[in-house]
This record gives sequence, C-alpha cells and structure tokens, in this order.
Amino acid sequence: MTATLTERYVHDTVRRLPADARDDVRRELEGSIADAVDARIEGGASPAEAERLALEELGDPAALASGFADRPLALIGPRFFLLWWRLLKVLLWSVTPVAGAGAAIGHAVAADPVGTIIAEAIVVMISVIMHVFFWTTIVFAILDRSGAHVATRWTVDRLPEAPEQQGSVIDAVASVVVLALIAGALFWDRFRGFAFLDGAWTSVLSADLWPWWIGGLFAIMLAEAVLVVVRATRGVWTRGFAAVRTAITVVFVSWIVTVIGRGILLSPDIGAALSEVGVGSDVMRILAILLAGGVVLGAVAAVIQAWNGVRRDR
Amino acid sequence: MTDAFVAHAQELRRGTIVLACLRLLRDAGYGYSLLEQLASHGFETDANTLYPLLRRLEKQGYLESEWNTDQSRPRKFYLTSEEGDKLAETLTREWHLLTRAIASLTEEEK
Repeated sequence: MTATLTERYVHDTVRRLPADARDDVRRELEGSIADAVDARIEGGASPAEAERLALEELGDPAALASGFADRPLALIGPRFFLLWWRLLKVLLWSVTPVAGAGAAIGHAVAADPVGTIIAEAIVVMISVIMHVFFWTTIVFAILDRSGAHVATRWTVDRLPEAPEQQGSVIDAVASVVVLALIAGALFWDRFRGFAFLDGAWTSVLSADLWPWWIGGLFAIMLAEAVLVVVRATRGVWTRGFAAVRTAITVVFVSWIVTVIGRGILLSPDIGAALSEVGVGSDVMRILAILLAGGVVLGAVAAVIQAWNGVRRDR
Repeated sequence: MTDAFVAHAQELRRGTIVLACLRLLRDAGYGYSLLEQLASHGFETDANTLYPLLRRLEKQGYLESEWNTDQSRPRKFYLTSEEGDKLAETLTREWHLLTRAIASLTEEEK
C-alpha cells in the first residue's frame, strides 16, 4: 500500500519535532487536515484535488514544524546578528593577514621560491577565511538557538570617532617629528656611529648606502612628510592623496627589500662582530626576512588606512 | 491594496490573532473550527500560523486542552484558561488605548 499524500505530509512534519511532542501533533494535524479536506469536498472539489489544495495551503512541512517546535527560521536572529557581524569583521581583518604573513615568513625561511611563498600565503589565507567564517557562524547559530543571553547594551561610548578627528593635525606633526628623528639618526650613525666596537664608535649601517641609497630614502621620507602635512591641512583623504601614499609605500618597500636582499644594509664591521658572538648567517637571513615581512605588513596597513580614509571622507 | 500596503496591514493585524483566539476559546473549540470562526469574524488567518500558535499558547499556560474521542474523528479541544482570560483582558485594554490614541491623531487633523 502506498502512503497517501496526507500521511507523507504528516510524517515529514512530525519527524522534525522532539519525540515527546510527535504523537500529539500527529493526531491533531491528521484531524485538522481531514477537516480541511472535508470542507473542500463539500465545496465541490474532488477528493484528490481537495487533499492536494489543503496540504499546499499548509505549506512546507519544514516551516510548519519550525512553528510547532518554536524554532527560528533564521540561522542567526536579530539578537546576535550585529555581534556576529562585528566579531567576524574583526577576526577576518586580524587573523587572515597574520596567518598569511606567518605562512609567507615560514616559506621564506625555508628558502622556497617566491612563487611558492606567495601561493602558500594565499592558500593559507583562503582557508583561514573559511574557517573563521564557519566556526564563528556555527558558534552564534548555537548561541541563538540555546537562548543564551548576552548583555550588550549599546552606549554612546561605542560611537566611532568623527572623521575629522582621525588623522588630525596632531598626527601629522607627530609623523613629521618621527621622520625628522629618523633622518637625524641616519646622519648620527654616519658621522658618529651607534655601535661601540673595539673602543671606537662605528656606523651600524653600511657606508655603501651613502650617498645614493640614503639619498633615495631621504627623498621618500620627504615625500611622506609633505603628503602628511598637505593631507592634514586639507582635513580629508582624497583619491589623489591615497594614490600618492600607495606610490610612496611601494617605492619604500622596494627600497628596503632591495637593500636587505643585496645584503648592503649593515656595515661589514657589524656583520663580523655579530658572527663573532654567534649570530651566524642563518640567523641573519631569518632576521632579514622578518624585517622585510614587518615592513611589508606595515606598508599594507598604511595603504589600507589611506583608501579607507577615501571611502569614509567621500 | 499594493503589496507594500498588504505587508503593513499584516504587521498591524499580527498580534490581534492571539486576542481573538483567547476570546473565541472561552467556548471550547478545535483547530479547524477555530480557523472558520476566525474567518467569519473577519480575522483571516493561515492554518500554518494558527496551529503552531495554539500549541504555543497552550505551552505558555493561556490555553488548556483535552482530547475528545467521542466523535468518529478524535479532536483536540482548546479552552482559554484563567491566565488566558487575564491576558485577554490586558490585551483588550491595550487595544482600546490604541484605538483612542489613533482616533486622537485623526481628530487633530480636523
């Protein structure tokens, strides 16, 4: 004997309910459907048509069962949606770049080719994004269904700062002062020296950098200082400013990566002194990779900050 | 009425079904009979909204239920409980307040 449509419908609804509610709902639902079918037959419909129409009026058994079981028809309801969204954004923006940088540094230390380093970093970042998305969502879906209560009353303290307060004149002054201090330190290192070796002050940075490499660095720093000051007086990020910041950053990253890659950053005296105290070329290579990685990360952050500013100030 | 109007009207009606059920079930009734009663009183309700609602109100203690197996078809009869009566009183008061509030809005226009 094949099951009737009603039997199939009731079964499909009831199987989604907790065991203790099933029999009661089954009997009541069967009765209600039979009443509805009878009413339609009285109205002149054929029995088969009456059954079909009555069931279609009740709609998707899954939705009906959710109503009976008082289950939400949303993965994450309004109570938790904003919390979930904020946490997800923070995690994706923090964990993903760190994991990508970690993978890149690991493969760089293992002396893998550049293609492998980039590919592995991308693979790791994609899998991190999927994991963060999946686990955060699962946790919040469970929280929402378990009826957990999270006291997250919104207060005015949570308002983001007004756009004009970010990257203000004070920040610009601070940036220029820091750039000036770095320039001063470079000159000091050249003419007096920062390292005390064999009873005399010695330069830490290689003398080969002078004048052209250091001159290039000064040009980059000057460009950054001008950008920071002009931007602060205008008060907003424009596409032009962000493009200039991106260009400056790219040039700076190429500068530092080239200098590190050619091994002309530190003076030979310093290299010799370091290997004397046990810091071999392996360690120096790893330190160089970490330094380059840190510079790239900072550069990416600076570029993102600029373009974020463009989006915000538009 | 346009679809947007229908959506707003439904929003306005949503809570009134509970009050209508609590009032109608002062005389015991079962699912399908209640559906017809609601319709005849002008509360158009979908069956898939009403049946879960009845169980929810029962679980919350506003309705009592009893199986009647005397007839050929066993039916679950619902009856408004004492607590349900109190809820109906409160909701009715609220409804009157709202009616007056809305009336005051249109009076101001004149």
